[in-house]
Amino acid sequence: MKQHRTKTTGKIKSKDRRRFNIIAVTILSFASFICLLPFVLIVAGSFSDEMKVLTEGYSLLPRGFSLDAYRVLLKNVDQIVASYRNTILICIIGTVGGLFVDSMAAYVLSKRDFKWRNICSFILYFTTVFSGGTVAWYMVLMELGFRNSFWVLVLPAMLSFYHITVMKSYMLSIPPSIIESARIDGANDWQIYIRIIMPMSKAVLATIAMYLVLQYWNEWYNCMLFISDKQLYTLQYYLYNMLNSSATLKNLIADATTIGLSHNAVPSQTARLAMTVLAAGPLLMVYPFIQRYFVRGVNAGAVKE
Amino acid sequence: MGVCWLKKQGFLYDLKKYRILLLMFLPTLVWFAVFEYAPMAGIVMAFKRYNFSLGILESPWCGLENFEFIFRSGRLGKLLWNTVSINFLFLVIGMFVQILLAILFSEITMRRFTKVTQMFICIPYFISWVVVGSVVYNMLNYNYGFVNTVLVKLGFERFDFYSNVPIWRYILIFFNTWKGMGYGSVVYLATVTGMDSEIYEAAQIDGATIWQRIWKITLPCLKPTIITMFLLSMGSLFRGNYQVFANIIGGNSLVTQELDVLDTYIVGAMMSGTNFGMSAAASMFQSIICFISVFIMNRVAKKVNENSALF
Amino acid sequence: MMRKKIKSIIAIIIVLSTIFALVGCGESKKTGLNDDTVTVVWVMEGDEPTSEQYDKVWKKVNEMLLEDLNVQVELEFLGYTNPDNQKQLRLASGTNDFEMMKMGGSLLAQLAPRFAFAELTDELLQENMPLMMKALEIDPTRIEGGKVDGVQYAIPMMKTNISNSCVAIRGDLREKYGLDVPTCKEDIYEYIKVIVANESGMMGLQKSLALWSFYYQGDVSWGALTGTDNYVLFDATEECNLFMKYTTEEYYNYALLCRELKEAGCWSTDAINDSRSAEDLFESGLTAAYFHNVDTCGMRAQNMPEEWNVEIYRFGDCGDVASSPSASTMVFNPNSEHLESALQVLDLFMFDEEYYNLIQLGFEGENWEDAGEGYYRDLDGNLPETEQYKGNWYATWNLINKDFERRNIENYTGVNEIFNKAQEEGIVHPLTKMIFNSEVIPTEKAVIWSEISRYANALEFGMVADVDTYYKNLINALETAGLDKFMAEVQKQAEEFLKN
Repeated sequence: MKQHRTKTTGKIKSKDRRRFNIIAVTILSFASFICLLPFVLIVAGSFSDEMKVLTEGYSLLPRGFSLDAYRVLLKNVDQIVASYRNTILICIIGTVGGLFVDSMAAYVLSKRDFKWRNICSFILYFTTVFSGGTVAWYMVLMELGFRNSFWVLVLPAMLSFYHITVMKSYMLSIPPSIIESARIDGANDWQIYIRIIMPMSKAVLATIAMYLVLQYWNEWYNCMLFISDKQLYTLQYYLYNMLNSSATLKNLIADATTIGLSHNAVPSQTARLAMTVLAAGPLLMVYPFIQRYFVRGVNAGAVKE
Repeated sequence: MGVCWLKKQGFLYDLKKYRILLLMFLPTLVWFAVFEYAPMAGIVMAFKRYNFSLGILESPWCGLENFEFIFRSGRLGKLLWNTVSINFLFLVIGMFVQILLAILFSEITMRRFTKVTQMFICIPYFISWVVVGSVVYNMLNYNYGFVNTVLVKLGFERFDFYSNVPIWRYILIFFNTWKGMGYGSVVYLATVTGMDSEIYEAAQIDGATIWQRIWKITLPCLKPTIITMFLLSMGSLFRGNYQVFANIIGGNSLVTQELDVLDTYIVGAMMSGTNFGMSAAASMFQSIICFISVFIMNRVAKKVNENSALF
Repeated sequence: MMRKKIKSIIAIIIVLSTIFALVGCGESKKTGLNDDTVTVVWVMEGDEPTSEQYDKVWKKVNEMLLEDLNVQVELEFLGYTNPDNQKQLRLASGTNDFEMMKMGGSLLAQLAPRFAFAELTDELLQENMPLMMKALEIDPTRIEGGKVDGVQYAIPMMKTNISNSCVAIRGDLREKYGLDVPTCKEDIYEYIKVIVANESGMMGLQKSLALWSFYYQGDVSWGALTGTDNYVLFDATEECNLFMKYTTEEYYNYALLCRELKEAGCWSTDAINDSRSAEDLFESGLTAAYFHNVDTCGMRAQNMPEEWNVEIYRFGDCGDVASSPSASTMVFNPNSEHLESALQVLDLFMFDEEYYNLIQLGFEGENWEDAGEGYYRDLDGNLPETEQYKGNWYATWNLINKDFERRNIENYTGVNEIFNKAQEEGIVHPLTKMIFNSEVIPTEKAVIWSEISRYANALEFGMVADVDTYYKNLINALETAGLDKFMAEVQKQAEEFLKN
């Protein structure tokens, strides 16, 4: 992979390359800057003194460094740990399951000679435009016994037409000749899917994996509707609940005095920001792992095998 | 699998021929049946006066009564125009930026720089709209907002964003693009990544410049994906992302009046609690116009490129 | 290839085993009680309090219930995220996993005509709520607030709350600028303007609906009609005079005042998107005044430094009008098998003094003591009003019964006096207990509500320079939306209600 890359870049005209790099670096730096700036404000705000944030707003450096927001949020350690655990579990199970089923469906729909291909696509597509609404959906899930069940956090969000379509259009770009030669060797569709399509689709699988992880990581709506058992709360719902209610925070005031905060200084603005940091932080560390699949030539080996 | 010896050409024959494919598709089918098609019965609520004790199917019919409120406002035309124009700008500008980023990332040769920036531009996606709302407020605030502080330091006048109505259209577009660009560019990046690298090598041997390469190879290769993504987004052209409006514009009714979209109107109407029948009606109304527009666009797409059509 | 296969097999095994491990997680509830013990599930908003006090109280309540009725109560908290949405879906799903639910007035008004709740027939009440029936013999109108279209669907709180709108200001700042003790509302507005002009970095107030209440209360005696989100008001000095808030002259003048205050810099242009709470800002000394009812003002004042010398005022000669007891009610699940038990439990919670005191205040002698004449004295410093437990005051508000209700004797200076005065002067109008059924004209309601959401905010935040034209636009929009038809229906229902 690396060899391949150096070969490609080495041959480019250096002047041309340099000019491109300058433009690209400028644009990307600017993009990173506007993406990073609010995040810096959030992180700085979360470490700020509540009073300072109330009077002067956010700034790039923490105003009057204080850990109050985190202290208040992390007071309920058991709950946070349980929520993290649940969220990580649904991320793993949901992503693996979703990738598997999505990619099978995508493979089927990408088969040019599959007679019912269009009908199947249409059946799936129809649901993205028309839906029965929350009420009926809620009733069906309640009927299936999903209340207070772990699976309600995983199953209803697992598949989506969008993911299937993205995979499908990627698989369509795989040269048919490779599949044809495997077929002549006597491989059936399942074998082709496992042995050829999957290894060649690493990039798109990584993409969808990232989408699924993010989606499950942000899961709060189903949790709100179906889960009343605090042991099953997802992280986002726990945090969302906090965000939505200054009253929730006020409940924590009771304990605030015991951790050495004056009543006035109970953070609610800064706690809001701290919660964003707590929710987004760990996930940002996952990104580099997915990233390595987004380099050109990552599939090259598979093609030649 | 050349199966010439079997002459029967019926449904059962197909079923046998495609048995593996069908088996592979089965889990998806079941999932959609349970989680999407079973609740479809809820659509009839749009035509019913919902009664909790009778349930969806038994509730009495009420004709088109639930749809009335959409047309009664007398500004349906403006609502539709705003919805389509804002969403279309969201869509086009968003896609342009995402594709641009994907191409830059794939062509740039500085590995470490790419890695870091790639991570950075994905950050906004992690921030919930609620927090984006408060960040926007704190950036644009007249007295202590970040933007105004910088302006003052540079010797300019403070700018009053909140009573300047027209500017909010651009603020919305900016933040919508900003939030989705890292996340969205990944799809295009994956497509570029998966492209046949032999074509690239051939191009280089021919002495093509980077610009030519992008223009003549990368973009055409991305075309099917672009069309597909465009069609997918078309499905929500008439359905604004309510979160954007709710959290960035908030209660600023001066702006809402200018940038009123279907969703804000509907939510305003349901302010004192959701009326099941009406919300079903509103959603159905949006679905129908979405469906018609997507159906037409899909036909066009099929003519351009068979494979990028949705169905 | 072989190694990859092994890898994937291991991965599958890991996934499967976690799945199986988790399936066991979800189910393990309700521990061993007698088989015939009925569990009554009570759904309420908010988060479950985590204090020891809360656990202790409800353990005690359940012990008592087990003895008296062989019933256990389980509390289910919906959290603060979209509780109304959750409630509607729960009711629509036809589930029988809860017995009773706390319900606010506007949702009650909306759902009852659609048959979402169990109908509470006279026999049911006679049989299961003997204590309440006894109390009703003295004043049978006490449960009127739970009736929609003449059918009893809910048990309202047993209290007509006199809403009183007050202002809290900073005494130290008032004296610093040599202002006299305010005697009317204009003095307050003047005070705010002076502070804003002189104290740098201070806002006048954090704009909220409370300013409107403060503006009209005391000058007129208006009450709000339940089921209209306080948009439809009635004059309590007349028999049946209902009107839309926005069409009144007072509202127009209020809009002018808002513009004037805004121009004077009492709040900035961006206040409209400011999510900071009025409480936080006032307590942090960032705003000059805070508007709310007297108890809340007192609570804030108590949290603030003594040297700020917070003063609380209420102005006007017209008595305040009682707010609806439907504001907080208890409704019952029509699909529940234990409706009778739920009613019996509620009867005890609201009409048995021992249960009542335990739930609202905690253990007598440990958390509070009797201070005579409807007052209690706090013993451990945990006031119920601070939303923390003792009793989780907010969540159990719908159980309030004026027969047993106690107020804290150690409230902030002047709070109890203002409160008592307001109670004495208060007017209880029959329409207070009416619930408007808007389901008859849903279209008009939806369009009117949407127009209001589009216009009102800009006026009330003083963002419009030309108040006249803008106000006219609002009125025109409301009229096109069918205001006449809507108000005719309101009038019709009110007349019918008063007839019975």
